Amino acid sequence: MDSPLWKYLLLGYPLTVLIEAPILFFALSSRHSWQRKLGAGLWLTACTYPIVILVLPACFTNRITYLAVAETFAPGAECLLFWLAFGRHMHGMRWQHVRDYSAIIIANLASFAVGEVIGRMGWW
Amino acid sequence: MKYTPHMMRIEPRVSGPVVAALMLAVTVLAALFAGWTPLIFSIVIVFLFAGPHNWLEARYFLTRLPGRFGKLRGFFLFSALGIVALTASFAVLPWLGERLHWEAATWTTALAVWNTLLVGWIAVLVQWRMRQSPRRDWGWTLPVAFLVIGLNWLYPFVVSIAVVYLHPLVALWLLDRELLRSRPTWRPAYHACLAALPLLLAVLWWRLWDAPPLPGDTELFRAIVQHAGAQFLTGVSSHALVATHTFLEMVHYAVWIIAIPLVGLRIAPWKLSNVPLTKHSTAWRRIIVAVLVAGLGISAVLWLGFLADYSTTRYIYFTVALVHVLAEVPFLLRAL
Repeated sequence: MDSPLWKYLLLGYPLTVLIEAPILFFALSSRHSWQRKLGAGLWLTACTYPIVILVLPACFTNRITYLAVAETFAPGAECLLFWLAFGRHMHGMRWQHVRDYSAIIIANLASFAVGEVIGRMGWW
Repeated sequence: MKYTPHMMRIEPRVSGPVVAALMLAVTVLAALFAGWTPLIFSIVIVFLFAGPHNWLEARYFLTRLPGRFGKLRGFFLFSALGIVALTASFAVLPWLGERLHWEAATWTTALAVWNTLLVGWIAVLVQWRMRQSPRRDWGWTLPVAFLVIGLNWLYPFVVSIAVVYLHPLVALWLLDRELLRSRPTWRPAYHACLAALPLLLAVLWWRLWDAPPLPGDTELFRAIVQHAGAQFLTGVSSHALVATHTFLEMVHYAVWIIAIPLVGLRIAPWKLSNVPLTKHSTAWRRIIVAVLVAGLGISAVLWLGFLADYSTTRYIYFTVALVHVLAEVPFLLRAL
């Protein structure tokens, strides 16, 4: 229990949800219920966050490489999971799909940006 | 009164409480022997029951395989591929490590990768199962799987030890599903028995957590102690760990050798009338008979192996036995 990664996991997950869930809530297309939008905010991050925080740092020692892989993996995996869970069974206009996946990518970019700011300010 | 095929089955003339009392007696005796002399008890039960319980488990799985796979073909194919690939890679790891002169860090990474594949395989099967009719709301399992994968990269040995200790409990879950399916009136007695399990484990740990460590003066004793995870769980007496593992293992054997044949098979295991695949074609019937006869042969070879060289046979057995550990996953999912 002495790994600093625990801190990232236990504090980072709620913080990431706090940033991403509101974006998903307002930016996902209107064909999804508000419960699903809220659930997606919790569920998608819960799926990808352990991999980003616990697995990828063990695989990539170079920070730039790690960030590039992590920030590609997280939105990519979340888009795939969202499609598997909800997207493929839902009829809708193409722009609604594009909007959903754009929302997921923007939410991930936002949490990445906030994380970087917190890291550079030394608050972490 | 309408005549149904169900009536053709040989129904055991025992009631739920009698079976429960029998299982409870076995469980209490197992706890006593496991706590008193865990190494000898471990050697004896693996010698006696390892082969037969695997054979009965295979026999039960055959009963639960559908006659025609239809839409389940993909599920069972993926299950079989995973079982073969994971077992083969697990068996190859020590050989590979020795040949490539792996250091401790490489070993840890290799184990973490293997555990990741294991959890990933289970997660895919769970997702597959939840989409089968009737659909189940198991979306929560995906974050849990990812969390386990993540934690596994921090502490890969914890996942391995968890598999060792949790695997015996899967049989109890399968038995519960079998009771729900065919003998729901026996379930209250069974659940009362289950309540005794944590109680007995608590007694074992209360008595043994600081007991003197078990002797590690022979290769066999060292292997048994290591199998229970003593090299990682250094804060607990190896006596408590081996006693716990041996106790759970004995419960696992009792479930597969006594309870599930009684509840899940309900006919003599050598009779194949309840194996749907045998009705598919003569070729399938021959394959099933061949598999079961080969299984009996393997059990006999296992006994001879134990008599000739117990340590080596035990090592080979626990490597190959991963097949039955993994096979329980898809069948448990099908039962849920």
